Amino acid sequence: MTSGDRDLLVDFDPEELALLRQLFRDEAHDALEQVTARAQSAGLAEAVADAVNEMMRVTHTLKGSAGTVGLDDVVDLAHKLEGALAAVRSGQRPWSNAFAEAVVEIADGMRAYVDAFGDPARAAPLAARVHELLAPWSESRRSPSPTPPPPFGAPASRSRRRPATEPVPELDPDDGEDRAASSRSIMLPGALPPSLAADLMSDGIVADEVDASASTSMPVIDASTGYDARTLLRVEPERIDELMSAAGELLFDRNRIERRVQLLRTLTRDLGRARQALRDDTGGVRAATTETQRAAIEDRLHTVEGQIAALTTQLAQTTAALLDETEAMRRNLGELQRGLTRVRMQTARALFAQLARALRAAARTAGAKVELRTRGEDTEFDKAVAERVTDPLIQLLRNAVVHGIEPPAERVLRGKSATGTIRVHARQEGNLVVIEVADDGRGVDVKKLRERFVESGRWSRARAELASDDDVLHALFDPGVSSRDEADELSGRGIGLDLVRETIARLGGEVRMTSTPGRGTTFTLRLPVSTAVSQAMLFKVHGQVYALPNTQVVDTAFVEASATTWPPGPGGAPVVRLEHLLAIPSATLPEPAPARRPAVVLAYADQRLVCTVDKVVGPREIVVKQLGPLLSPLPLFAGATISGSGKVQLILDPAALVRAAYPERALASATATDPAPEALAGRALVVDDSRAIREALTSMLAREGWIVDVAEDGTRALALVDQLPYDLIVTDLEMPRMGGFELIDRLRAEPRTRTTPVVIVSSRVTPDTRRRARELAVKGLIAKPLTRRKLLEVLYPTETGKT
Amino acid sequence: MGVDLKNVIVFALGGARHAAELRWVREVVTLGFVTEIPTAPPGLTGAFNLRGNLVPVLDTGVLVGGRPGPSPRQGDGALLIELDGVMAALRVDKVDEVATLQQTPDGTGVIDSRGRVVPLVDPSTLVRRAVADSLAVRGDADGELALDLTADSMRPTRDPTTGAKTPPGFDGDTTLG
Repeated sequence: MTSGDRDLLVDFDPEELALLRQLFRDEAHDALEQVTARAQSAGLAEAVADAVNEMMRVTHTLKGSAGTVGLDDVVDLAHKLEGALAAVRSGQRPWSNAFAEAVVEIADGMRAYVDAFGDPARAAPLAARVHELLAPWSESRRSPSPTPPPPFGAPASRSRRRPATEPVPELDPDDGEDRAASSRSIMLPGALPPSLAADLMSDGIVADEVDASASTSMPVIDASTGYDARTLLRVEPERIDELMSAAGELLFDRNRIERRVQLLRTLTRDLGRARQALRDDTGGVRAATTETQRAAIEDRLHTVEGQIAALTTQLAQTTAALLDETEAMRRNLGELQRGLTRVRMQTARALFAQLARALRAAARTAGAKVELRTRGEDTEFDKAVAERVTDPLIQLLRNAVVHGIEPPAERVLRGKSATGTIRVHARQEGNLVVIEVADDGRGVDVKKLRERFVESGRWSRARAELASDDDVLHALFDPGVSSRDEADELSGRGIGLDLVRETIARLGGEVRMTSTPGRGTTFTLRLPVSTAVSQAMLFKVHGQVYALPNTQVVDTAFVEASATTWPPGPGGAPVVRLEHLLAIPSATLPEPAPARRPAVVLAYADQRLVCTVDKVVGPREIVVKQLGPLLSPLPLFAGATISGSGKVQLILDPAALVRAAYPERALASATATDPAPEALAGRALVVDDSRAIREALTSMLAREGWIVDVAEDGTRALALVDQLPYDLIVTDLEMPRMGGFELIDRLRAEPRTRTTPVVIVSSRVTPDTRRRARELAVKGLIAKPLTRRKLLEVLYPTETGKT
Repeated sequence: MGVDLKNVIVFALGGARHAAELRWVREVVTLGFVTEIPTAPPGLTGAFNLRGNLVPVLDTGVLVGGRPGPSPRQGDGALLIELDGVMAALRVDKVDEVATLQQTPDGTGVIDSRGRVVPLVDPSTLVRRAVADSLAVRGDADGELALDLTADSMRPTRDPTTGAKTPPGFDGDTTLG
C-alpha cells in the first residue's frame, strides 16, 4: 500500500475505496477505449481536430478521477498523453499514422496497467512500458527517439513551448503539489532495473508484439493457449468486473439507505424534543397570568411550530429520497441478477479487440497494409461459442491478409486504395449470431480454381465442369485444399478452411463463402447464440406453473393443512399459502383443501419460508426471459420462462416473497446501523460526469449529514433543481451536454437559485476559472484530485480554520 | 382544412366496430396460451409467448367501452402495439380491414367504405395507462412509509419569520434549533 492509500483511507473506508477503484477501472476502460477508437478513426471517418479534442477531453476526465481514487501513476500517464495530444492540437506536431499507432498502444498499455494496478509486480513493468511508449511523444516534437524522458521535466518544458493563448491545462499550485506527490510514487516502476524491464519485455510479458500468441496486454483472452474450452469457461475480467460493480452499487445503495435511516432517527429525536418543548409551554399557558407571559409563550410556540415545520419538510424529503434509493437498489439488484445470467454471454467487443490485434500482427509479418472495420460490437453470444469461434476467425483474417489483399502497388494499379480493408460485422438474427468477414482483395477466381482441382487430380474433368461456382468455392473447405501453394508462416499452417468449417459445424453453425474476382471475398458464419440457462424448481398453483430459482429453494415437503410452521414446533419456518402471497382470491381456490399439501421451502437472506402449492413439478433447466417494462414493476416476479409447449411461466422473486411474508422484518434489519449523525446539513446536488467522483462526493457529503442527489451533467442537474430545493450544489466544470459554468449561469439567472451556494470541483483550475468563479459568486473552487479535507475547508471555512 | 385521411385498422369488439390508427399497430397476431399474472392491475389480463418473447395482453374492453372485456383465450386475435419500447397485445374479436379512411370533421371517428362512422380509438392511451397502473402496484408495495407523510408536510411553512430555513451549514449553524 502506498502512502497515497493511507491518505485516502482518511477519506474513504477501505471497502469504499476498493469499490471506487472498481468504478474507476470501468470508467478508465471506457475512456481508453474511446481514445483508441478516436485514434483509429482520426483522419478517416473523423476530422483530426475533433478526434484530438475528444481524446483530450476523455483523457482529462480520466486524470481527474484517477487522482481522486489515488491512482497517481494513471494521473501522470494521462497527463503526459494529454500533453502529447495538446502538441498535436496546437499544431506543433502533425497527426501521423505513427502517432495514431502510438496512441493506440499507449491506451492499450494504460488499460493493462489499470487492470494490473492491484498487483505491483505486474503493474510496475506495465507502467514503465507506457512511460517508455510515451517518452518520444511527450518529450519533444522532433522525430521519435527511444531515449527515456527526463523524470519530471517534461510537463514544464512542454508548457514553455506552448503559445500563451492556447487553452491547455495549467498547473494549479495545488495540482502541482499533488503532481510532486505522484512523481514520488512513479519512482516505483522506475526503480525496476532497466535491464530487468528489458528482459520482461523481450519475453513478451509486456509488449504487444509480433503475433497474437505473444500478446499479453489482454492476457486473459489469449486465444492460443492450449487448454480445452469444453472444460473451462474463460470469463472475461470485464464481465466479472461488471458483476463486482453491480455488487458494489448495491453496497453504495445500502450505505445511502443506512444514512437515510440514520437521518430519520435524528429527525425522530428532534421531533421528540419539539414535542417536549410544546408540552412544557402548554403547561405554561395555564399558569400564565400576564399579557407579557402569554406573549412570551406565544413566541416560543411559534418557534416550536417553525421547528416542526422544518422537520416535517426534512422528513418528507428524506422519505422521498429513501424511496428513490430503494428503487435504485431494486434496479441494481436486477442488474446484478441479469449480470449473473449473462456471465455466460459476452459481447463481440472482446472478440473484435482480439481480432484487431491478430490482424495487426499478421499484417506486420506479411508487410501488408490492412485496416479492420468492425460493426456490431454489442452483439452478445455465449462465451463458449465466442471462444471457440476466435481461432477460425483469426484464420479467416490471416487468409485475407495473405491470399486476399493484394500488395499496395497492385491495388493501386487496380484502382483500389493502397490500404486493404477487412470488415468484420456481427449481428443477431433470431437465435443465431451471424459474423461476416469480408475483404476487398483479389477475390477467388473460380475458373482458375476449377482448373487447379483438375490439375491436382482432386476432381475429374467432368465433375469440375458440372460443379456450380458455389460448389467450387465451397470445395475450398475440404481438407487439404489451399488456393495458394506455399505453406507460409501465416496461413498455410495451423487450421485452414477445412478446420474453420469443422469448428463452426461442431458449434452447431455453418459457414458460407461468396467471392467476386477483383472485388473480394466474404465469409458468413452462422452460429447459435446459445441461451442463458438456469436451474429452477417448478410447481403449480391455481392451475398455472411457476418457477423459483433453484439457488433459493432448499427443500420440498408435505405440510399439514393446519400447520403454521414447518417443521412443526419451535424453530420451524412459517408456512404460507403461495396463493395468498400471489393474492389469488380464495373464492377461486379448490375446496375443500386437502389434508396435506406439497410445499416448497425457500431460503433468502437467512430467512426461510415454506410456501404450500398445489403440486410440485420438480427441478428443470429454464431459459430466463425478461419481463419487459409492463410486467417488471410487479414486485413478486423476477422474470419468466417459456415452457416446452410454449406457455409463459412466471419466475417468482424469492426476495419479494420473503418481504411479502415478513413485512416488519425487512424494515427492522435496515435500522440496525451506526449512531445517527448529529444534524441534518441540508440537501445537496452533486454534478459530475465521472461516476467515481459522484460516489466519492456523495460519501463525503453524506458523512457531514447532507442528503445527496447526483446528476451526470448540467442538463440533468437543472431538471433536478427544477423539482427540488437544494441547499448546496457541487459541480464539475467539463461535462458533456452542459458544463459547469453554463449550469451556474443558468442557476444564477433563476431567482430561486440565485443565491444557492455552489462549489466547483475541477481538474482544470486556471486564473481564468478563478475569475469566472468569482464573478458567479461561487462559494469555493476545489482542484481535483478531490480530498475530504479540501471539501471541508470550502464548506466550513470557519470550523476548519480553527483547528 | 382539407379532407383528413387516416391509415387505420378496423376491428370488431363486443359487437361494435372500432378503428385504430395503423401507426400504433405493429402486426396482427393470434394469441398463444395466455398466462394469468397474479397481482397485476385489472387492465393487464395476462401474457403470452410470441416467438420466444413475453408479450403482455391488455384488456381492450376498457378502451372501447370502459367495461372489462372477456378474458383473452388462446387463438383470439390481437393487435400488437409498440409504444416507446413497450410491447403489448390488445385482444379483439375480429379484424375487419386495413384501409385509408376519411376522418370525421370532429376527428373522433373515420368513415368507412359504406359511409358508416367508425369511432377512432387510441391504443397508446391504454398502453400508457397500463404502464402507470403497473408502476402504481409497485409504489403501493413499497410506499407505506411515504403515504402518510407527503400529503401535509410538503406544504410551505406558514410563517417564514419563525424557524425559516436558512441553508444550514453555511453560517456555522448546522443544527436544526
